Amino acid sequence: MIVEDNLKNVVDEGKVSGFQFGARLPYYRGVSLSMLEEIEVSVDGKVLPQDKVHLIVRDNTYNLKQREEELDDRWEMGEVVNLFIEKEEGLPKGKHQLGLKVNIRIGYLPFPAIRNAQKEITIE
Amino acid sequence: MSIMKKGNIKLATSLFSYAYEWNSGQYTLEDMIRKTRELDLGTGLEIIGFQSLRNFPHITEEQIKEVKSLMEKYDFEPVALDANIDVGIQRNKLMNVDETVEYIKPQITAAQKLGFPILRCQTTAPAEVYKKLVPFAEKANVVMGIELHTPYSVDHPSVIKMREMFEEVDSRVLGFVPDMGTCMHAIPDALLTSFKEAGVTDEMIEVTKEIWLKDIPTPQKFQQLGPTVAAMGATPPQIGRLNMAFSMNGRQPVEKWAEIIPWTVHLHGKFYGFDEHGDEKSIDYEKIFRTFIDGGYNGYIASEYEGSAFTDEFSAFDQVEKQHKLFKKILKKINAE
Repeated sequence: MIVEDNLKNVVDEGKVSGFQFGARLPYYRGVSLSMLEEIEVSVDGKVLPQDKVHLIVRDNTYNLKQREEELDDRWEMGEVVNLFIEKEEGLPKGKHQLGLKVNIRIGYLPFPAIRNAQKEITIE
Repeated sequence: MSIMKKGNIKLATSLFSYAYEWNSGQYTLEDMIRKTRELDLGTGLEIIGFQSLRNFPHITEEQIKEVKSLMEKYDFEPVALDANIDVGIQRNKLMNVDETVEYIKPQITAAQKLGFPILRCQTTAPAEVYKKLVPFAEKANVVMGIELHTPYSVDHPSVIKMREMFEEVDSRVLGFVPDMGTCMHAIPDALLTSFKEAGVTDEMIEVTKEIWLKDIPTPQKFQQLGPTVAAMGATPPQIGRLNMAFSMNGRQPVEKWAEIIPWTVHLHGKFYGFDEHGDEKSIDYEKIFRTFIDGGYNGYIASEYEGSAFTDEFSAFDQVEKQHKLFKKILKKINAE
């Protein structure tokens, strides 16, 4: 689920505005972005606010509200999208435990489809 | 007394089986199809629109050309294209009948363009939706094969309504795709093992097995399980895992399929894993093959490996290969009689 390749602190106009990493959808097919009920990112056991998590799908960036309303664009299966998390000063250099929870709302399943992943990452 | 003509079952693979391999990012669509051919996993292929095709169902001419040329290159008969009916796509409301009809139409068109005779549909949409789609599907010459995935057994109220509608409309584009996860006689060992890895105790598993065996609707099973295992210390994620046993494993008797064989257009060979003798202990495939062949079913069964939903311990290619070995053994035995 967590793809380390795109991991970095993001610099915006000379200032670190947050961090990003790549992720694959843990499901057997792609889903419309509106079906992503929750995307929860945690760092070293601390859960970050969901409204700070932006989804970058190909060339488009979606904030929480835009994502919830997007019926057409999809996170395709196997596709690596970037998650950008707004966080002043980003992540400190060194090792961190990164957690990702994705809850997919599948209209015909009687319960939420929740997937969790943890990965030790290193910010250089 | 007339003697019913015996049927014949041909083997196919559904690319659903390779969910974990897909997600590893190491395989292209062509890799999947080539490997399926190399391992000799049937003469037919089933693909999933929202899995294999970017921007599905609004596919391009290039995508159509690619799929058609791959089917030809690796000598597969296109059997079924899987649609998904995402009635919960909007956050706060479910799709109404007309919205659902419009959501399915472009998927029917995609099946037509890709050359797949059957569009696998879901019971998420009620009979009314499919009735409205009949003229459109007839024009496209695509059969809407409604999957009977557990808990939708042949006598589930929604399925009864569907059967009544089938009788009333009597169209060649209406059919069923029974999924063999609906007629299981045990919770698979591979699933039970994955529960233990999630920290579930033997005691909780016993309770789950007992509730699974009860003749009550699935939602009631969820309601009974939750509080019982929570009292034993199960966490919400563990309860979620245990619920999978109810949502994946149905208990319809195999013989009951006979009632809908005249409407059956395709079969899903759901499976979870094998013992050391190559047998799938939770699904009685010999009985299944006999029931459908004796009932005159003529068509495919596509392997659907479900294990990747809960474990990444096994290669789906190996698993599907084992299932095809079992299927070939059963067919050989039946044909020799």
